[in-house]
Amino acid sequence: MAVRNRLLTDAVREILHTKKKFFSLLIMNFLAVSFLAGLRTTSPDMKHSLDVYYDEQNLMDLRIVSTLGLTDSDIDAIRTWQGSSELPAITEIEGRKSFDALAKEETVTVFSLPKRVNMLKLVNGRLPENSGECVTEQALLDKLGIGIGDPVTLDTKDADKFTTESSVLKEHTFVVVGTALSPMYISKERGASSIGSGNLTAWVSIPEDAFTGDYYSALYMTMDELDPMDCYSDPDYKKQVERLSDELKTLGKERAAIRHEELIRDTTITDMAAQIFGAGLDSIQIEGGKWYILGRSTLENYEEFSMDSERMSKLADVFPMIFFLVAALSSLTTMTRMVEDHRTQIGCMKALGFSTAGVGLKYIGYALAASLFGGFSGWIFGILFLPFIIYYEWGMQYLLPPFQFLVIPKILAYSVGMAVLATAGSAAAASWSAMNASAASLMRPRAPKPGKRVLIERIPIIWKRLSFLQKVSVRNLFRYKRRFWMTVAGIGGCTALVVAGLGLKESIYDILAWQFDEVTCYDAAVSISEDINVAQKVNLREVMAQMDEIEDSVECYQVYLNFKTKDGKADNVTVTCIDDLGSLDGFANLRHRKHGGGVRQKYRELFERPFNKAPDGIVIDEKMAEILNVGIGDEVTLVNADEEEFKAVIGEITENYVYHYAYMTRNSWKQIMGEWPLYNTVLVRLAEGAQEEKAASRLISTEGVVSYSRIDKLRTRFENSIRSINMIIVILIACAALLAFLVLFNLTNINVTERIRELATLKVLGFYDGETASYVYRENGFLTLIGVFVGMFMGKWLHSWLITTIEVDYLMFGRSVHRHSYILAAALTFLFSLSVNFFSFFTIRKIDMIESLKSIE
Amino acid sequence: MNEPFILFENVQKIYRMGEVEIRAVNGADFTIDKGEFTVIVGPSGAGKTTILNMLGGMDQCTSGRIIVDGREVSKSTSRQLTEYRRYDIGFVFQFYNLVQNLTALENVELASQICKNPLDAAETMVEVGLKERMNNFPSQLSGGEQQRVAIARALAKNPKLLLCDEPTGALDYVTGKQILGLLQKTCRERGMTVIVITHNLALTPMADKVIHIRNGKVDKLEINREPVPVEQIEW
Ligand SMILES: Nc1ncnc2c1ncn2[C@@H]1O[C@H](COP(=O)(O)OP(=O)(O)OP(=O)(O)O)[C@@H](O)[C@H]1O
Ligand SMILES: [Mg+2]
Repeated sequence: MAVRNRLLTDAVREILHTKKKFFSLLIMNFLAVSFLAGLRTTSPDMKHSLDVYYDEQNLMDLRIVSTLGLTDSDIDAIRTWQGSSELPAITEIEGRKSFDALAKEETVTVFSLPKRVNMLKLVNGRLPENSGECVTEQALLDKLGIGIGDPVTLDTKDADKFTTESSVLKEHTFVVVGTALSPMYISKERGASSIGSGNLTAWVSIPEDAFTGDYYSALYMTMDELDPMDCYSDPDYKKQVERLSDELKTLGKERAAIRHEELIRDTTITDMAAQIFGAGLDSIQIEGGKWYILGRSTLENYEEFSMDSERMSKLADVFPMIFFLVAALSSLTTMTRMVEDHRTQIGCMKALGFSTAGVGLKYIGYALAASLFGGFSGWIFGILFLPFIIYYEWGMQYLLPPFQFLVIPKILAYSVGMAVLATAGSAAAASWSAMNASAASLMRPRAPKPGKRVLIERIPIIWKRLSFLQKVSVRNLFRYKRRFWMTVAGIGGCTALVVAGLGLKESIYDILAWQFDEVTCYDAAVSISEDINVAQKVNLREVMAQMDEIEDSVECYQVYLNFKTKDGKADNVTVTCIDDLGSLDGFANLRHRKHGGGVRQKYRELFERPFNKAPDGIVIDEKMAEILNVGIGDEVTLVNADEEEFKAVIGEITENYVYHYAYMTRNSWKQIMGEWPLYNTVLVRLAEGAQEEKAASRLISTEGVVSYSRIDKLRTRFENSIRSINMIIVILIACAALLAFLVLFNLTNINVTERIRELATLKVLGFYDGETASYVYRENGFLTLIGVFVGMFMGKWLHSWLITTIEVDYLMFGRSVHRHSYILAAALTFLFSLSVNFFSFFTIRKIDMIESLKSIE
Repeated sequence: MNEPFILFENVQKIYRMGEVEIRAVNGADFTIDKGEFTVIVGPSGAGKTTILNMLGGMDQCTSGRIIVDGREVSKSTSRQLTEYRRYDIGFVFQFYNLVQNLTALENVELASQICKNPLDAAETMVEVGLKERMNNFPSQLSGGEQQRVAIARALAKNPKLLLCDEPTGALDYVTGKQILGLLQKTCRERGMTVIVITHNLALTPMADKVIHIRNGKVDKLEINREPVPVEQIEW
């Protein structure tokens, strides 16, 4: 027992005596694990935070909206409806009345106060209790410049057109009694509207009895038994909900038919009413009704949220691995050095009769201690801070509920396990040969590594030019091959990390300007009703011609279609049809990509040629072509909303970075789809300094206009979603910097201790401290130079690997790294190298000549 | 000429290790004249190496005065000590401490390149009898040859003072004798002041001056009027 204790004493003392080494190993593990665990946990944490919030607020699992509205008898029918036995039971079902209205200039959606489903989370004040009260969002109060207790008046004239009553509301002025959050809206986006500016600013919730109508716009349903499942990450959740919604469709058909008949019966009455009141009721066109049964994924930003968080996980798969590699490398150098230093001692211990395992345990234990302490503290730090920071930094653009931590044992085991494997594993590898050598051979001093002539010496032109000390450096560099490669790999790795980090940031940010300033140059898409008549069309053209805000516009046909990717997923593509693709110039610039490099071999030749503005077939974007792995002359399959498939031959491939866009001449569309496309969209470019709000309301109030979609909203949405990546990159560059420093520090330290005898000899000979240090620096400098050079290539490669890993289907990032990033990364590495050398100067100064030269170690 | 070349005056070197004080050198006094061949002898742990290290400017004394050729070594700054080692001192160790990655000649050049009046490296190599081995690396040389390279390295600096700490400790009888002969020859021919530490009392007749050290003090100081060439000493 005492023996074991002494071995332990020795091991503990070793750690205490080599604090610097131990801590640099520990920090390496700390960083790697905190990054891995933190990033891995971020996505589950984010999803979990929202899932908890959804459950607390009892967010709907399914909603039914119908073209004809829904009634209490629909609710009863669902309540009594029997699906197949394994379906999740519907626990709550609640009807919601709603419409869009104007509060001064702001377009708001008004809905009846939730009772059990989609509960509002009160922020300030209270919820409405009496008639004449409302609750809304802080954003609206800010926009209107009012506070709690002030009245707000809702202008309902647009909604009133669709009711047989005089208005959809009994009264129009409500006192704001509180502000709240709705689980239906996790972002600040509220969606589009067909009134006002075309964009909703906020919601307003009022007591249900303020409505005059008795039909609901939507029915919300919840299934309590699904609450324990994480709605984002548990695939079972989606499956269960889908099964229920599939079976409900049958009921939907029945109920929609019944509602249709009811309405026809009612219309006879309303027709009479219409004659009496003279109201223009022809807008109620009673066609066959249809139920749309929708899950949570159709909520605003619900899916984006999960996609953003998953992008985080993808990063977690790549980046921390590099940290582990560096940790393993450092462990290998440190432990090799330590075992070398202790050769005689190890031999002695073995001669004393200690087992190989007993002696070896010290070295593996040393690394194990560093990786466990570093790993655990890194894990705690990682899962506490990283997800938290990312959640709130990214969440500033959103209205997210409080953050919820998750402790995921699997991630703990995985990340700390990686640390142990990398660090202790390297230690075991490093000590293996010494442990297995015989005691006698260990106790014999190891013959110093013999000097050798290097190849350059045989090239007199170069060799003769070198000064004496330069010759020594050259020979040293080539003599210690292992140190050479380790240093080059370490420094190269650091440069590579910084290059990749900076490059990634650019690749992501560059496409913002490329897409929205160079490719899609129009400011808005105005959609026109299918039923617009000639007079209205002429009028609209006149209105637009007169508006000062509009610089130019072009009419086209736009439609969302799907295309199927190889793995069966469907992706959206916006198809634009126009007589002459050339007339899109200045709105959507069709051209071959010149930015960002990394053009696939397949398209390289094509991109050399001028862009063909009159191609046969369809023009698709480059990313879409990449996903489908198709080129000119190949076919793509497009699917419309009715699940009909069309095949189109690719005629050109155009530059595009965000979402997917395809273009066709009207002729091609006719050939492929069989019918002429009617113009349904006007792309608008605004004059410089034009007030977009004003232009939007003017257009929306023009007859025949359905909506006005602003491109800058798209840009903001995209900007927001990449914030999360940006955060990570900033942290990453900082960590890469720290790592670079640690690696260099470690290597320089080892370099100095390994050669302490040589350095002490120089000091005895009377070399000044500066001269002695420069003896080491010259080699370090040269190794840094080579490392940086190699690192550039590694960085370039790492960057393109990262891009392909984190790039999602609807985005195309820049594919190359800017020159200034390379320069910056190199400069940073040199700076680190310099500062490490600065520190090692003191180590060299402190070298004790007498101690170092006492005897053969 | 009243000033001795080397003056040791009540020199103390005290190592403090926590509570314990180790008086490695405890008031040593002696003088050595220019061109003298001095041998320091004494039992293990007596403080010989400590004295030589202080004399060579590798270590500083705790108290007392050390003066070498008018320079007060005991009061020098670290920078001055480096300069002192650089221009005035040649050191030879028991374990040769050659730079493994340099050839024999290059090891000598390493030292000579930083001096003011170095001897020609190649000539020095010839002098120590290594004409044929100049371009060999240390690992290709025997112990005695390596020690001769170490001496050549010290000599090439053309120092005022050559300090040797057990230069023959790792060598056999014959080789050891050759090395000592080389040192004696250097002293006689160049008029260089040479100080050699040895455990071998049989060697004392070869010195001009023998300093016996015991317990950190000078125990006895012998002066040989007629030193014997080392070749005539048998042990
Ligand atoms: N760095 C040190 N710390 C503490 N004590 C030391 C140190 N260096 C030497 N000593 C002590 O000083 C005393 C003199 O040591 P020194 O090396 O001068 O002896 P020496 O006469 O050269 O012996 P040897 O013949 O064995 O080489 C010894 O007792 C030694 O333990
Ligand atoms: Mg000694």
